[in-house]
Amino acid sequence: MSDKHSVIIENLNKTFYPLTKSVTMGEKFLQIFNPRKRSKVAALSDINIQIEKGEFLGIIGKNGSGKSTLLKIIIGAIKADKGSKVITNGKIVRLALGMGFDKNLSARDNIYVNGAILGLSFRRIGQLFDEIINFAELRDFVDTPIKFYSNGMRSRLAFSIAMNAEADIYLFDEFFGGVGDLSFRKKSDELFKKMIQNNKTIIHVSHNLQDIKKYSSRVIMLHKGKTITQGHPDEVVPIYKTYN
Amino acid sequence: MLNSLLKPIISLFPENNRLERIWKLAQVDFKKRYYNNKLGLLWALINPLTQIAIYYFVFNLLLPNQQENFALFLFSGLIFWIAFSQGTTLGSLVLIQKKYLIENIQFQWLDLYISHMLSVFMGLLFNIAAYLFLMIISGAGLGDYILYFPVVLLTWFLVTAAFSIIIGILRPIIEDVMHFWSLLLMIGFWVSGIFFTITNYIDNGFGWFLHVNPFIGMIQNVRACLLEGNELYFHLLLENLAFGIIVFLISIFLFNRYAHLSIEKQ
Repeated sequence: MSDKHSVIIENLNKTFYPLTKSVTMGEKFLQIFNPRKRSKVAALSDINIQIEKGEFLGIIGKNGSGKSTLLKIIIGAIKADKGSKVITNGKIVRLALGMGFDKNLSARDNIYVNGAILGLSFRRIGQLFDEIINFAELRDFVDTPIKFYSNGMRSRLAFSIAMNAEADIYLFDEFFGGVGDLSFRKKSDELFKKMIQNNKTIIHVSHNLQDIKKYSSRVIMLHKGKTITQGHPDEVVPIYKTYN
Repeated sequence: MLNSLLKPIISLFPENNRLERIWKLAQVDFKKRYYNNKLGLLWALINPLTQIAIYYFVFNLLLPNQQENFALFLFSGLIFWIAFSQGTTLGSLVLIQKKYLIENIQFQWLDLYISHMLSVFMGLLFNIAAYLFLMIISGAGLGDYILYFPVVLLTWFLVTAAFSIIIGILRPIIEDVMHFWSLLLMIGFWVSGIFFTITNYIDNGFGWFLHVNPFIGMIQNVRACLLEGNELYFHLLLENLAFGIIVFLISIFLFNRYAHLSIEKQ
């Protein structure tokens, strides 16, 4: 992979084999003698994407088009089918609403757990700690278990940790627009601009076409697991609208 | 306390080290299990002590036996079995409970199991400390083979880690694996030498069983290390260690191959 790219995806296919009913050991045993035909769902078919470093890529598509599956494959949580090629270059973090926390732990513990998993040393997390808490506006709730937080507080904390994570590739899964009140969104906006300036790669999955148009330099439209079109937001968004 | 003891060791390693991550996960796991409760770490003791009280009452008072230091004899076996049982049962949930990290951050998933085992191991160490305290106040002595104790601990660690990983991968794929595992744990509880000496098996024609169930030899050798008057079975020490290494390697192979499938099925 060249230094120019953050993500290269070639011939990506992903098939799910959903189970129609629960699988018990008894059923498994009977299946040895009478194999049951399993249903197949092609979540992604023949996806080819090259994402450059510092690029802000928007991905749009209706529900079930394969957007979140694509992000999960990029981060490595889901394995693509054989023959698919997914190469990433750099530390990746994914942001989705309600994600990323152990609800029984405090913000302090969650910051250390997430930070440590993101590869930050304890010393570095210690240095960033105040910044994370202050940015998330949670100074008075540092040692309160996350389960007592509102959705907004959780989102702000997740956003603040991720922004300070020093990752190279950020995956925003329907996360971008709905975080916090107006002043927080203003702060977030400034941070995004800074990230773009700092050559961070952002892949942004959303239904919010305003955000997509505002930030993305390129947009990919998925439909039923296939790439329909890609290009400048002004070209792709009108096509997407015809699919709704 | 553990944190302050281990912090200087961790600081010896370079920054961005896996060790810090593993330690943090183990620490919060341990904290969640005990510190969030009112009685805290005492819960780690209450479970084995309650069981010892019950079995001591049944096997020493209602059905008297000849075993010397019977309470310590029971304690030494029970703490290793309970740690195995808890380790594998909680281990089966690692991928499920930590899915929130797996789906959102890129890292080596095996670290989750290493930290899980570290957390279980801390609980076991706490129980071993309690055992030593009881041993001192009861006037009993350590076994003659205390120097072999690290080998027994390593064997226990490998076997528990291996089964935690295997059950953890299977749980989301085969729904009733936990019923099966609970059944095995119940059988294992009665046939792993917690209540009997190894000679009970040999004298009654079940010597072959020592090679089927590694816990019989392991518990016998724990006692050889921690309680005076118990003999070390060297061939079982080596056999169990070899079993631990093999089953651990198998579990790593299975993890690398099927952990993705397990995550997808959740």
